[in-house]
Amino acid sequence: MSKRNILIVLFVGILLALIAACSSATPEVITIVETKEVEVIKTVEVEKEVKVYETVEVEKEVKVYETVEVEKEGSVQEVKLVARCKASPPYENGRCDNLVKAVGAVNAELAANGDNRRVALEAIQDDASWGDYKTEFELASDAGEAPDIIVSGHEHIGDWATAGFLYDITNEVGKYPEFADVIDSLWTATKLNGSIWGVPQDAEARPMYYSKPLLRQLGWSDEDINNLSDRVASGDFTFQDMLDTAAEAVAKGVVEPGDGWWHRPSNGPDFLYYYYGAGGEVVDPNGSNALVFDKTAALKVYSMLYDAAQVRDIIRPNKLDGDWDFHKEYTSKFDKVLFVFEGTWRWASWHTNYLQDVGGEDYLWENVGFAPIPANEEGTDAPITLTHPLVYMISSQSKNPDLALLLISKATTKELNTDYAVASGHLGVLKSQADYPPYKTAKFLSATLPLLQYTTFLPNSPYWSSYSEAYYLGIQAVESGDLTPEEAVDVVVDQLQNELGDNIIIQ
Amino acid sequence: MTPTTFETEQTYGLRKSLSRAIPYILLTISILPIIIGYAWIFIATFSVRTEGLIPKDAHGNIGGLTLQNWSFLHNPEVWNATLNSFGIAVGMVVGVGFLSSLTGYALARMNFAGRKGFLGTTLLLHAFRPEMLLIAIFQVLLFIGGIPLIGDWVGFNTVGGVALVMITLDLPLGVWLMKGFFDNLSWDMERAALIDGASRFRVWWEIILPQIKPGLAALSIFTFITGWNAYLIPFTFTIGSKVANLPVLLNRFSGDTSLGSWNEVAALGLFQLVPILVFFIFTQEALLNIYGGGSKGGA
Repeated sequence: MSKRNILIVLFVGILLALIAACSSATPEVITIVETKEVEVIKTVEVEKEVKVYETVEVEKEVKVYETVEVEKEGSVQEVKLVARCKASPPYENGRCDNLVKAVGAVNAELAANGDNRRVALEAIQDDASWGDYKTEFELASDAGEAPDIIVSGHEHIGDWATAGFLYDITNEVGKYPEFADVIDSLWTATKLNGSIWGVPQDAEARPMYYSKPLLRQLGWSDEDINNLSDRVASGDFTFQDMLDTAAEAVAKGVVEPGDGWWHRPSNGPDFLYYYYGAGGEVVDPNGSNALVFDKTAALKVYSMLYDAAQVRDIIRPNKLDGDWDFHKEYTSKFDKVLFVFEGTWRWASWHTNYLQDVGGEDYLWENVGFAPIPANEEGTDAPITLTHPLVYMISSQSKNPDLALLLISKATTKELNTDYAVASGHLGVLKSQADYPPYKTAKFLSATLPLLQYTTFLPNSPYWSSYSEAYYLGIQAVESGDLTPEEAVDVVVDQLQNELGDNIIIQ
Repeated sequence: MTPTTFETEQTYGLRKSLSRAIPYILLTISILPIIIGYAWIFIATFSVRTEGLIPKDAHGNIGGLTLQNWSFLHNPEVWNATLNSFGIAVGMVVGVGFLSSLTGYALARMNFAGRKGFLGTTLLLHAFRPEMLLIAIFQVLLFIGGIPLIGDWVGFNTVGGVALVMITLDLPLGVWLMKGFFDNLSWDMERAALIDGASRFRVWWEIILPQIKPGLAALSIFTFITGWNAYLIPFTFTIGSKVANLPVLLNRFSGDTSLGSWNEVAALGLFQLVPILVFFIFTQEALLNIYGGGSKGGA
């Protein structure tokens, strides 16, 4: 046998062996409950009243029993829907999985209403980057191949509704009783120009986490540590206090230089609450579609970050390096970084992925506290956080938007949403969840729910992406030391005016 | 034969062997990191986890060999993606091979108006990176997608559409490569065939093509590998898992926000490599002929 043939046989052998060997592996079993209607020909007894006239002396009533064939219902028409979700597996899989689980309820309701349509759902769910995910939906919409349902951040309503990619559900929402249960304030995030473009899928808060052991090393008593959350909530412990504490931890060697306080390593909604906290506004109070950039508030933010990164060694000058894996692992144990600004969903990610060998979630409860983002005493002087609900949106290209919305309504139940919330560390979106035992007994969700009273939202505006990029450019520039805060404001103003023209108001 | 002479010959032989061995030693050292990398991939695919090249179990002890990383073979998405990759790669081999050999023949053997300009433009097209052309290609695919019947096969979000784009981007290289092979062929047999009354197409098919088999093999290998490993075009012009190919699926395995199961990713990577190796084994003889003296009747 030639060398070539030996190699071929070897490869084919390995491949077959692998396939054979893998047959013993245990694949994940997903149980999908679906209600199917089966056509039957039924023989029933019909009680029929018949008048029989006979030539008799007495007219009498006779009951006649007949065997008749009942006409079967019209043939069932299967309607295929496609849902597209981005989720961090396994804890966020509920985004699309809940839609899959709702198919049974949808078909049952259709059958009960005598509607001969039945939904078959194709759920496409992966962990693509947000940028790729958005591009995919936009290209698909341009090509006329958009999925019926897409789950994404509410701020995309600004772009997508304006571009005509979304289906306006304003007049439909009232027809589905499930939507009456959605927390009223969350609908704000789904509106643009007075219309509703999506249904809230999840909510969250973005707290300040703090390390109890590191505060202890800094000389804080247990009482001080336990009171910190209340002090932040009351405005007694401010953003400036947090930076001072972090600077002290660096100076005393409790943490390494640059590890006093960490924020996210890339652009995202979080940075907007710095600006809100400094007194900035984004939406034009006069009601125009233009966005507002407040130079004074921005300068406060940039000065604070410049000071933290370039002067006081509180945060690393290269913190915005985009390295999420390192960020998540390095912050997970709270033995290196004193204060971390993160989302509530990170709680689940930390204990599931990084802390299993040290006690999982119990480790976090023992060593980590959380509070709203402290008040900026030079700005609004009020604690703050930001909620960035993801929303189910229906494509304007969907041929069956009513079925898509019915499916979303059946996925918007306290049972399904609580399963998702508990698994993912996101907050519930329904009023009834507050009294729903499985939600109430989820310790972390109950503890973080009060954070929503400090919440703010991103604006739904087609200009938000450009605005966000420009504002973030300034943050990068001051943290890396490339620009002073004043220079950064000028650069950002230039960029905003270049990009947005009349759609930006500089104050 | 004196002992001294014997020693000298032995030393000479040793020196000769050493001088022969040195290139191999240097070569081995220089490719060692790559070999170690491949070894790690291979070991990782059969391990729970690895420390260096040593497989370890969940408790950190040596061992922990498993086939669990290959459980993706149960996933129909993987087989669908494999089929899509295969479709793109084979489509490219056939499309680029056929069109390049025809075009290359015409450019090498025929004289027609605009021949030089065409050659120059072809080369210029190759200078454009696909990234620069994405939006334009998208518009073209949208247009093609709107054509009845054809659009369903070669429009946006179809394997045919991806293959079509990949063929187009690879054609300039193929045409120039083929033209080079045709230029090196002798006119003698071709003239004889033409004098005997053979048509141009018959000459191309029966006389010329058999002589450039090594060139076709080389082009086939390059295009197959390009098609099989294609990422940017399939990623940009397909939606979801139905039309995704293996590299796109591999990217999804690693995830954006979640921790990647790197051993599983390595297994899928190795799985992706197997057809390339098989294809290479089948075509290597033809490929090596290029360097081994050209083809019969060559000039």
